[in-house]
Amino acid sequence: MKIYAVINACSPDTEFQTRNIRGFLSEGIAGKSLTEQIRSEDIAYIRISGSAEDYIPEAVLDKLTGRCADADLVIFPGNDSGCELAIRLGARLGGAGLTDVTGIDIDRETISRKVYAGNLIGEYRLKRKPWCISADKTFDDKSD
Amino acid sequence: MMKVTCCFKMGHDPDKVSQEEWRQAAEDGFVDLRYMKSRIDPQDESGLELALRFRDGCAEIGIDTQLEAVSAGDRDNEIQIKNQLQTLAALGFDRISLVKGGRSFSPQEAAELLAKYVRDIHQESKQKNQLIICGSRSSEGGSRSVPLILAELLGIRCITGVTEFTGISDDAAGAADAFGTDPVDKIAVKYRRDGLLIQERVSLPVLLAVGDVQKSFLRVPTLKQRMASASAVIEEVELEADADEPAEFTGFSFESQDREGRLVEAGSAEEAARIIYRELAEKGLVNG
Repeated sequence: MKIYAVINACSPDTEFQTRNIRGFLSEGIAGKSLTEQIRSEDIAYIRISGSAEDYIPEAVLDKLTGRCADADLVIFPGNDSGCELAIRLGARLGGAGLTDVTGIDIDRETISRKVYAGNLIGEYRLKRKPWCISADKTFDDKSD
Repeated sequence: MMKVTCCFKMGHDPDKVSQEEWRQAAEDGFVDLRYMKSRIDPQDESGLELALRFRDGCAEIGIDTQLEAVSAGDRDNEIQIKNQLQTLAALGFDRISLVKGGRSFSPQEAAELLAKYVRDIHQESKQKNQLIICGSRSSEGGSRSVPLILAELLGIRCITGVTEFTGISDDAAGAADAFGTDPVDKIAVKYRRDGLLIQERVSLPVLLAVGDVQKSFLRVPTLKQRMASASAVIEEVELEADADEPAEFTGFSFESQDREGRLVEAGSAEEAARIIYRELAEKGLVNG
């Protein structure tokens, strides 16, 4: 399974982004087929470089569309730019774009995410790849 | 003439639903809030009010605007949507439209309906000066998807987390732009992204997804305004979306939001603070 994780270094919160994605990878993913892959850290990290002043999402998306053309799963952090890129990249690649994801089951091809202002968890069946998701903000990998 | 299209959705206040009702809804597999009074989703409401302020500001600097409001609502909310559209007509919206169709938890469909409306319904929508306003997220799914997918379908820039937008006067635009760009083709936008507050001059067409904005309740029309717009006609449009949602909603689950708590009884705030501090120190959480 081809997995990418995207860090937006144009935003000042790169530490949060890294911990958020790592937290999601360690706690948010179910599915035996992925466990070995995550343990071996066979995940390609993409780092978006640049300054906050020069950051234009459309330009970043043009590049990500090429980089992630072979992706099965693309994970973004749960900040504003991560959520935006997840949805738009999913739309551009003809796959699924979902935000605030609290869990993903690779084998069942389902995700869960907060709905109704977090009062319920919505369950979704993923129909088209790539799956471009942003992790829920609460994931936090505190290990060093 | 700058054309401004505001999209809005009706919803319900989730804070007015008890935890037990949410638990029951998860067990039932559906959420039925029709017994509650619906209202415009808060960020959509902010978008509508900001559009009115934008119009007022443009009028002061000699820029003509045409405001239209459109809702791609689901059938359960049709009456409430029409009532809101009449209110918007009283507030000065030049065109009020209802796109019939749309289902819950179907952002791809909602975006395609709105894209068809913007692209195909009014030929003048193909004019270059086009500003589209949406709320960033709904109170229902809250996925932030609709404005972003809409921007992708229209092939235009999208800015999220918008808190303010204004027209640019001829003088200000003329001084700033060396390429002679028509000042009506640019607006000034403030938005938040990843903790930053950004100000930018943006070329049209653009889609602005409004975030949380303080003091942005929709103004209330006067009786005189309501009477003057009593004959306003809501344009009802039947459109079909070809949408095949890439993720299919299958159901709900419930996670308790209960929190542990204890009431500290004390004669004053200072005494209560001392009690709490002492307990924290005993647990080693603060320096005692």
